[in-house]
Amino acid sequence: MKKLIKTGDMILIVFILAISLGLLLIRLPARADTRNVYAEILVDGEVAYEIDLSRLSEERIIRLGSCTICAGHEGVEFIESDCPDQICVQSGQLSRPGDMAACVPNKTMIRIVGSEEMDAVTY
Amino acid sequence: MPLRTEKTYSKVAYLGILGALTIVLSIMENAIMPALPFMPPGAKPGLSNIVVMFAASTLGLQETLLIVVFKSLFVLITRGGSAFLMSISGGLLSSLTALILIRMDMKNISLIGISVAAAVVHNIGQLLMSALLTHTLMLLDYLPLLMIFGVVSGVITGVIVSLVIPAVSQVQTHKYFGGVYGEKSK
Repeated sequence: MKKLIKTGDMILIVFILAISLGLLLIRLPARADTRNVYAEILVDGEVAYEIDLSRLSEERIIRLGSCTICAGHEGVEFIESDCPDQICVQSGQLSRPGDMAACVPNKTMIRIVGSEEMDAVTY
Repeated sequence: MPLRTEKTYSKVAYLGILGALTIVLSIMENAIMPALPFMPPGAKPGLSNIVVMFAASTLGLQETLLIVVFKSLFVLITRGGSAFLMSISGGLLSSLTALILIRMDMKNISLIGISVAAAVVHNIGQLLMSALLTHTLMLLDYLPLLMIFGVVSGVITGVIVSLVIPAVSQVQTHKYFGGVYGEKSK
């Protein structure tokens, strides 16, 4: 089998992997306990909702334009959207800090924030 | 001298085939893998890049850009405006990267390395566009995972293209195609 890979390729690959690993280490989210996590829902770059999941006693349904989001004690998820790709809905349930889902056509995003990442809750 | 020669028609047909191939690969990608579990939504193996890389290696700038735009227009029709923007941003950046790298003709880099670079640039370009569309930098958290994924898909794509090009050049003697246009012998 003819040799397809050359040295420059390997150097490039290692370089890219090194950069990405570096980025990963810098941004390693604190896998804190799930007691004080809350979900941030952003629309068009601005925080529209902050929901403390541990304080929810029942499920809360939020309709933001054309996206429907369901927030419960276990996590948050998109349950319905009018976008053609449905990537947001297929992202499933978000529950740990760092989890996120986005619906780009509707500019809506959900992110789970751990208690160690923010100093104060203002909502 | 006639404006349209037999070569022109052959070229149109050839590019049409490549364009159709790109679209079919794109459909396949979306159908088989709607969302990988831990990857950012929208990360695709990049199979359609096989055709883009092929065009960048054997054809020229115009043909490659044509295929990229063609695919993006298809995305526009089927998946909407934001998907179109993401497709064209990633596609243009990655194909230009590939074309430049191929033009530079460096001895130590093979088609696989170029393919990796193109795949990574493609993902970065898409991610930047999605950040632009959603007005936040939040999605950039996916950058490291996407880069790693880009390396993997770039290697796969690169290997496939490296195998396809010698195979196709054996067909170029077929009179219907009149030879592959502007082929750089590699």
